[in-house]
Amino acid sequence: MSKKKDIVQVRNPRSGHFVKIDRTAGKIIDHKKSDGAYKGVPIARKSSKRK
Amino acid sequence: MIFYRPTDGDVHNVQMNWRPRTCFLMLAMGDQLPDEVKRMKQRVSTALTRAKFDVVDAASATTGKDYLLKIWTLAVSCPVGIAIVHEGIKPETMANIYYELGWMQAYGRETVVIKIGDVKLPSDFVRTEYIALDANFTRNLKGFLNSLGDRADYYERLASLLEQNPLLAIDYMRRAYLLTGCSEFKHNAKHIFDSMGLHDTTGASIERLMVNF
Repeated sequence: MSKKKDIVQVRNPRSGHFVKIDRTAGKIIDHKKSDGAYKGVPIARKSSKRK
Repeated sequence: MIFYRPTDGDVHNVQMNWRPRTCFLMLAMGDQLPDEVKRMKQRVSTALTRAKFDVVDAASATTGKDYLLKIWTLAVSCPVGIAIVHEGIKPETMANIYYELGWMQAYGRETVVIKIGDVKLPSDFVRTEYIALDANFTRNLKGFLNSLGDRADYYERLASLLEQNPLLAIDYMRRAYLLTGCSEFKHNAKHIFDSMGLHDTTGASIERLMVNF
């Protein structure tokens, strides 16, 4: 059985577009060309507060 | 990231003197500068100081090494690069500014070009952010500086999402550190390094050079 992929998205503040990340593979797998988020892909939120 | 020197093409396998929260200003040097460029340098430096960034330019570092290497290490070690271009600057000086801008973009630094007067950017810079000296200049420069915090947040988030790709995660963590100066990112990078099982690597190894920032 293949390993379940852990895919999330975050918005690149420079381009304004979302990028899709495969956490299991440790790589960016897609850059969205149009506005808005990918459907059905969770948005990764900030993990910690900066000190 | 592996840094190859522009002077001889060999790997730069000594520790970089990183300059967190520092902007490398790329502009013509010397006393013959047009007054508009001198005034702009002052204006940009003041805005950077207000935003708690240090400023360096080609005249800032004094070392015994050759000039090109000195400029290159300055450009690589800073998280932000601002180029000031003006129609009155000599073509060969403009070419140097664009060359340095290219380094910074290739190394993932935040760059912006400030255009004074009717100067046309080369077509390869069509996607490079620029700010014209017009009525919106102050607001646009402030907007660029304010955006740097969001970019640091993004790099931090990517670093945490890419932990299965440790060297890339460390590089993103370093970009977040350079933009913020926040030591938490140094600790996070060391944590990623420790999980890689590379404790036997030498001090000059690429992995150690990456994590020691």
